[in-house]
Amino acid sequence: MAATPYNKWGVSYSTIAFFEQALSKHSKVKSFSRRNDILFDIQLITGKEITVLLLDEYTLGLAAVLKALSDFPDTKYIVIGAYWNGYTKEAKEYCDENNIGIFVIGDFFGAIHRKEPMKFYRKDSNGKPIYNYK
Amino acid sequence: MVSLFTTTNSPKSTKAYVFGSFLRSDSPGDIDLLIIYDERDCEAAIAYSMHEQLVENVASLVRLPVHATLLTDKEEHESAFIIGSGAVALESVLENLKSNGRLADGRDLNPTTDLGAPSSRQSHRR
Repeated sequence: MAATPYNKWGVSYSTIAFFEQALSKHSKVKSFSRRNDILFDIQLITGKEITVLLLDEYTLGLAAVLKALSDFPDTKYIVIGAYWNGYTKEAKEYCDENNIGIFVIGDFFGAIHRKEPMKFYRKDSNGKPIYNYK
Repeated sequence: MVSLFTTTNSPKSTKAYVFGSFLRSDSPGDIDLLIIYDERDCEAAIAYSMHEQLVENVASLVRLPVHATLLTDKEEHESAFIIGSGAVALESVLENLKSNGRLADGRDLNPTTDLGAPSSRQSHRR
């Protein structure tokens, strides 16, 4: 992470603005607010409320997940930016074991179409899960 | 010799690399640092704090914000991060900067002191 004037995770304003714009247009999002620059409280039209930490990490490892959850204990979902970003198997396994959703932006917006966003994953042509492992 | 590791509390097994725009741009906005740590010497939960001084030393030397990615040896191996990103050993980068007079203080650097890691890490490659 690199410190910026606004957040020490180095998430750029353009990434934050893109995420906010996409949230504001998403059919399943009723409202949202942002705090600590990169933490989003999102109310879905189902009434469900989720807290999402927006990061922009090329490869999110286990240490970064633990640091992020220490910095932002309310986090229930970690969104790590665009499709070229990803996470390690260790990071994903830790999140699964601790009921934390971890997605790239595109998958997150697919996930919140589902009743249980945490369980969403993309599938390949054979129905097998596609994860953004690095 | 470039010197960054001994003034830090980084484990001796830690290896550090530079990747991204810093290696290609004449005016990079930050420096991407890959820190590979051994879980036997440093638990993931304290990996950031254990390497905080190293990150600050690099930031001070290159006068840019540092974007640090911390991975275990296993995570790096699985992701083939070094090969995929074209990462270069930090010490090599600093030596190159020093020879070009681009380090902040122009001082001699000693890998076993300023970075807190043995010089053998320079040759770490998969």
